[in-house]
Amino acid sequence: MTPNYPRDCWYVAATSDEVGSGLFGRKLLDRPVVLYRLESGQVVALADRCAHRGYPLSKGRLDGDLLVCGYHGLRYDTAGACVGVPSQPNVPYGVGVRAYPVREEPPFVWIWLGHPGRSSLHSPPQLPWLSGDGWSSSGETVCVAANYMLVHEHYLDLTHVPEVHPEETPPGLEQLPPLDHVSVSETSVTYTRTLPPAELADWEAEATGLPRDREYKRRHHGTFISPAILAEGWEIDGGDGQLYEQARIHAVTPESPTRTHLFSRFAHNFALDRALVDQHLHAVMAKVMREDVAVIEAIEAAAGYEGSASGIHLIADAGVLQVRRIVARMLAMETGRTSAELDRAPRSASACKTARPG
Amino acid sequence: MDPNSCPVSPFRAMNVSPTATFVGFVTAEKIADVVSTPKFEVEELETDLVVAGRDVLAEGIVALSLEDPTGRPLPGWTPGAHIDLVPNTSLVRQYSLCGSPTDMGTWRIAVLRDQQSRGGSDFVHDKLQVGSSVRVRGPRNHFPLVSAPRYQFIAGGIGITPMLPMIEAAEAAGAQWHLAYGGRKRASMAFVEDLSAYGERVTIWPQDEQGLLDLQGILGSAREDTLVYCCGPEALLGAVEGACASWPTGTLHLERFAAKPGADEPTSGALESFEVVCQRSGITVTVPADRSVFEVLEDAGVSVLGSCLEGICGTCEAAVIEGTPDHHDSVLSEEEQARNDAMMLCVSRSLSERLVLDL
Repeated sequence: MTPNYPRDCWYVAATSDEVGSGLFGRKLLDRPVVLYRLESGQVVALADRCAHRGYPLSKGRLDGDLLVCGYHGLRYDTAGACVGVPSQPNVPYGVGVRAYPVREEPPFVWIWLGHPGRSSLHSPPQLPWLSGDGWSSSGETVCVAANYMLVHEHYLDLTHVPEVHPEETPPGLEQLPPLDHVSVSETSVTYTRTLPPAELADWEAEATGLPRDREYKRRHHGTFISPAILAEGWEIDGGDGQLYEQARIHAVTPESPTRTHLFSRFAHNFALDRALVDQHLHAVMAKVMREDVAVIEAIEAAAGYEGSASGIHLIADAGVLQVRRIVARMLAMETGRTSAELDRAPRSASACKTARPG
Repeated sequence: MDPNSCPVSPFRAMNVSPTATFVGFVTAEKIADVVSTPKFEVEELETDLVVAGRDVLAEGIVALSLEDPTGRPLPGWTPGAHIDLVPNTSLVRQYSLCGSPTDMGTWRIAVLRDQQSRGGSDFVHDKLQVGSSVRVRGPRNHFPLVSAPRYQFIAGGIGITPMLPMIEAAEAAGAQWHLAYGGRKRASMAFVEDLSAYGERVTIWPQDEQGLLDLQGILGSAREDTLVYCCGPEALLGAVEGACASWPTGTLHLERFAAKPGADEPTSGALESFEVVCQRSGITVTVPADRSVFEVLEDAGVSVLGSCLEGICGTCEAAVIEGTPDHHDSVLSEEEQARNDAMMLCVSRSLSERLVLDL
């Protein structure tokens, strides 16, 4: 399958703690990238391939703020320019590796792998759930053996929950009601679903400390913010005037057409002074994430994204179909073919399948 | 749903909690009682914004800066996008976003007071002050800036608005570009001062000083590497269409704010009444002579998006699987209409007894 991901978009390259004092290599959107910190703490991203013989720069070392290739010792500055070759006095003119725009907004390091000039026209989305203000959060990072759209489409339709996560499904909610609402803009899709009153699942009771002998109203909602990020919320009305909110933020970064880095963060806005609640919720959400990944990888192995996307659509797919339109349109604009055909074609719901060439 | 009404989800009507963090990511103080059988709808994002700034830019033109009342970031958009202002149920007007897509907290529009105002521009000029609240819908974009090495932008009057973010994007991408900007007279032309910073890449062309835009001089002969973007009054759009007739298909991108002249004239062979099959929903309806496909589908409970209902905005586009539509919209180009694989449900009808749509 050819790549079906827009490049002109800020993606998460790593979590802040993954980029420590050494060199960190990761393939992102088919490109090998090396990430490291300057002495000031600022993160730099360069193409992870020495301009000389293609040795991965992530296998080299740092000398102050200079990156030294571990093969013949070529030295690169933070802009990727080669500034020293040990075996000769002069530095070949104009030699270097590409430097990628990077922005760190903990817990994420964002990278721009698209057209270099266009990075200034976009900003990584703000994710206040993760900034610590009124929220506590933790996370898990995994590499999923599947196309990135399978990850988005999994989280855009939560009617899988009773089948895939029966232990976490509140008793009485074995059949999720349809979505209330799907709301679209040029670049975003938001869905909401109100759930009928139901008792607490074990994990909800342990996390919230709410009494189990009654039923609670809940609401589930999510927003596709960009091809790089999907945010979900799960709210329980405590009946005590408090709304117990949980957010799952999924940063979705394609590595290749069939592998995806998934950086999921789990945030909650209650019991902020109880570390046990953090640990408990993290354990539950990490288990749920493993179950999600197993399903997504099984689809990729069996059908691939194109096979999956050619399946029938249910009412619950309303959000998925809107997201496919947005992504297809972004791809069409990047390819820049000037025919009216291209301008129009991707607006049909399944056009995402016709990925751009190269 | 009355297509001109402002459907409000039960949550939107409530106060948002201080933790709500993204417009569209609606959050309630308390979860409302579940409606017994809520009617599920796909709708465009609709939200109330406040006027955070108001400036008079030129004669008869005011610019408004719109922000979320709680300071939440707004959804992203790309150059060429527009929003609807929905002051009340019977007044929906489209305005191009003319600020920067990098400003995630503000949407900027510029509005010309139209002497033949149908109420939209009068409302903006007379009723919206700093601090006013206004309902908006969107953004959506049917005038997208497709990647290209060179652009010719042509703006007439208030049609300058979508060109500003396009110029910003062309600059950032390192593309070559030129803007020809015509207007009645210099004092009525907004952003002239800002644009003068670009020197020779911008040609300001006030009609009272220089006459009509010299389109042949501006466009020259057809070029493979250039996309032409034009927004302005119908006379300009028509002239540019004519001047670009010999250019490669797909070169010209137009944005209309009114229906194309003649778009509503009946086509020979058009059927008064026909059948529409919605393949995904499994619903079949008969469209009578006096009702639109959009109205009939909506009444039948098919989830359809709609906004202008005049064939201008493109919101209600549907993919056609079988049958031949009778196009009356001003969105699709002639080539696109001829492909018969998409139609605007609000104004277009049918040339065949049966239309099968991907709905």
